[in-house]
Amino acid sequence: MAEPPLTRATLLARIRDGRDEEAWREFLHLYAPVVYGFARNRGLQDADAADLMQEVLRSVARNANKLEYDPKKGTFRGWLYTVTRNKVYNFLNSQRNRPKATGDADSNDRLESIPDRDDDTDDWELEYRRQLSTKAMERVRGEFQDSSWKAFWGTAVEGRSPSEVGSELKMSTGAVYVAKSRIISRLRDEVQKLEAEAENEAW
Amino acid sequence: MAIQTRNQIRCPDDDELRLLARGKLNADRHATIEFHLCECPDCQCRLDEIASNGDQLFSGCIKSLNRPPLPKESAYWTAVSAVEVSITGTHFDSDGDTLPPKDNERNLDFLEPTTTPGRIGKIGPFEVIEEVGRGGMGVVLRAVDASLKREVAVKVLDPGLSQQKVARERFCREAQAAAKVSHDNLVAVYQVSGETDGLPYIVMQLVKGETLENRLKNAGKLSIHETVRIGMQAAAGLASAHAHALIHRDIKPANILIESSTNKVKLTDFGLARAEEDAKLTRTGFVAGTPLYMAPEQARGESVDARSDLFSLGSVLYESLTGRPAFDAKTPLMVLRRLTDEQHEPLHKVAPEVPDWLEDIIDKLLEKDPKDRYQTAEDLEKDLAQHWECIKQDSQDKVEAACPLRPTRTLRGIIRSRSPQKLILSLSLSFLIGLGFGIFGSWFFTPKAFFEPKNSLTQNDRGPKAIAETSRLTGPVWSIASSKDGRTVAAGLEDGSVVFWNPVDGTTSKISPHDGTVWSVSLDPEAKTLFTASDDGKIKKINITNEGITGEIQHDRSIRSSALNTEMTKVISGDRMGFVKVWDFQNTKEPKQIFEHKGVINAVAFANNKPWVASASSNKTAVIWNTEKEAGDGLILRGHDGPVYSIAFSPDDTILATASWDHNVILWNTTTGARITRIKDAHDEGIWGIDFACCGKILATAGQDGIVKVWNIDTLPPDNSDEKAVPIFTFSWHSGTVHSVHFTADGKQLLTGGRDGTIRLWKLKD
Repeated sequence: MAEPPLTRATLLARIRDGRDEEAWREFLHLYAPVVYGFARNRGLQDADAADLMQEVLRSVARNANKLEYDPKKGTFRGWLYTVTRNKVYNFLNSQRNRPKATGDADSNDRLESIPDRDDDTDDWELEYRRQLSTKAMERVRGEFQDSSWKAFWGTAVEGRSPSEVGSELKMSTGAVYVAKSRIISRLRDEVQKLEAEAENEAW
Repeated sequence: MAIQTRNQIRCPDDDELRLLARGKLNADRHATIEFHLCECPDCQCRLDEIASNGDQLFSGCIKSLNRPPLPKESAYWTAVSAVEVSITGTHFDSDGDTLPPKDNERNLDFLEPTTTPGRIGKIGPFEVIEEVGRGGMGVVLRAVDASLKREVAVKVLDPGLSQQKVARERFCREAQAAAKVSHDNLVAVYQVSGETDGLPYIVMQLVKGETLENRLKNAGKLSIHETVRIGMQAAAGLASAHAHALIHRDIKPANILIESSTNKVKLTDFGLARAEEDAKLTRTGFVAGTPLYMAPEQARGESVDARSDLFSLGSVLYESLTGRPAFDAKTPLMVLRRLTDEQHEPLHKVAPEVPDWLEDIIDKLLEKDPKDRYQTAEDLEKDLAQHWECIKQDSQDKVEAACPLRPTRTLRGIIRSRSPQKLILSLSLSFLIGLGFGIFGSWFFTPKAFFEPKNSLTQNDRGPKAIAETSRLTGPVWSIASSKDGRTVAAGLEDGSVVFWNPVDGTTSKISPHDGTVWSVSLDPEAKTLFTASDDGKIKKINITNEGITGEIQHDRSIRSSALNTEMTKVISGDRMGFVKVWDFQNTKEPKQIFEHKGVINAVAFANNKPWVASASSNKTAVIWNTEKEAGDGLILRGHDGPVYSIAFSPDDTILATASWDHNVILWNTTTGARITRIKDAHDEGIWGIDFACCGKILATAGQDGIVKVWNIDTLPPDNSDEKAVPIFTFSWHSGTVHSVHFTADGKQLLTGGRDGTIRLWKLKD
């Protein structure tokens, strides 16, 4: 992932400042659903996932002034992922009545001992991209006709067959494919743009 | 051309499919390939691949959008707002209590939906009109009590705090205690709702006016007269509360309201500080909010009684006389130390004009030991009242040495960008306004109208009456347009209808093209075509003769503002998501351009000749966008302290005027974005409408105070001057907020409309 360290450091400064509520809100609305969604995917119940999300984000807030951005250690998103995954596994472990780890000093050691399942990273990325996609959809929705949008939604999102969706919308199968491809490619552009913005602005 | 069948068409190559997915293929090829795609599975697959660029994660992501949104009852929502509150509310914020509303409607998702047009939601039985403030405890809403047909203020406990049992209980208990006391100088608490499942809220008297904090911010300091009057009334309010064992705990300028219509002082938020403290203490271990007006015993965390309120009132009066807090310091902790350990700077040093007796009174209030202070608010009230009897007869000039509000009647404040030649002109012809600049020649105001300025704070005179007005229409008026001859006036109403009015013969007719508030109306000069934009998301072009719709733009979501260009070929829309879109009536399907501002776009405008559009947002900024540029950044105008409600370009496009919730009007240089000048406190309440007359020198504003004012921009005081700007006309006959002002084409008359459901026509010049 490309790193523009200078701009990232600026936003880090904004959040560290603690008074920049707007920066915090942006941060919260992007990452809260990601953390929550990840926890749910790992099997946590609604209330537990919500608690965990609170804990993670509060700890980020509390420690914002201590956060130093070190490009060698990877992205902020990567860091948040590690923190979240750590908490999730801690939670799951405690659920299984295993001895609960205490203190933060050895959290890194414990981290190392957790097998990094491939699908963890994928899940995390999926949740993150899902947030960006939702935002992207809001942005591009107005650029397309209703019928095109329905064609896209029916096929790409709901996974129904293009011919079925087409006959419902009185569109040819070809037209459905075209509508879908146009919206998907537009969404991809927008997600990429948002991603760049989030990397540049949010950290 | 030979008839083709699908399979005869050769498969398009990747490049062509890429163009197709980008919507950049020409229409013929597009149709051909679309036709081919119907039966070529290979190309179908390839197109899918190309569109997503083989990004599996992205495709997975799109599929996951089908997941239903989190249900309302999910613990996620409360958790998020709790985090938000704790992250953004734990800091020692010197002005945290008085932040103006941020992005309006953003954090109001706790409101129930409403079907009443013009309302943003419901809480309990109350229909909410708008957010009027946001503080540490939650949100204050202006709402309508339908059963009593009156407007009320509803204070809703922050969703984050309401989860905390202690905070919630205290909020309700304190409010219930406050509800038992009724006094002219206290904001009446009508009702407390805390038992239900929803968020607890307090229903209070809606006071139209401003806070002392605001007044101090604008005026710097107040006169001795005004300070004594405020002190006396605040003391009377406190006396009554204290008699019911109710301690305020947080007397500060932001909690002292001054009602516009009566100039009466009203104290608000009794005891609520305590609930807030509880909440924040349990959460963070320290108290939030400003300690500037705290009593020393309060700062030390000792017990608090009626005399603590008196100390705080002393601090407020000190600041009111001097323009600065009695115990100011760089950090809240230093403030706390100063107010426990140090004496305030003697008043006679800071403000020599303050009489000894008043200094004695304030010193007595600011005693460190409660035993040395006034023991009751009643005693203080008596003392102040006694002196008031003596000074109220005095001439204002004698006592009001410090009064910054008195208008000076000199002609100053020349707009900097003006050429020296024109400058001399406007100086030498002091009451020839805008001479030679306008299309319609010079303007002449009689010296009488010009030299008898009306100061809205003190005026009893409501100004000249309208020369024509409609009877009460079917709803509040939000937008006005007129034909060139002035015989057709169109007004957009909250109920989705448009009323046509002929002010000459008084006739009206009505059409109902929309399902929501008509935020914008425009007419062509001959009144043949009407353009409307509404909350229902539609922009319509209507033939007035046969009422046929000749053009319609369906916006993807509700529209909040709109404007038409001079050539009537293009229209801009602004919505609540911060998007500003430029549309062409040639292609009503897709916007020509999209600009992204943020917040709620309350107003948009086209420049007259330049390729610019401007937008005004609830995020306190206005932006000028260049439509000749593909996209990118506009010129951002920052300087308002609240949502910007209305904007207008001057006829030559050199100036953009903005009007805001913060009571101010700002004139901006459209090329540099620099502030030319500001009409500070142009109205006593938020300003909803602004318009330039064709000469470019005359500006009209309308506000929530129900008043319409007309300004000559050549005679405004210089920027940042203490001198108060004086309107050349003041019309105070509307009985509610005035939303819209519109000059007639010749600039000689002014049309206004607002919440009282009337359109009125005012004469400015024969």
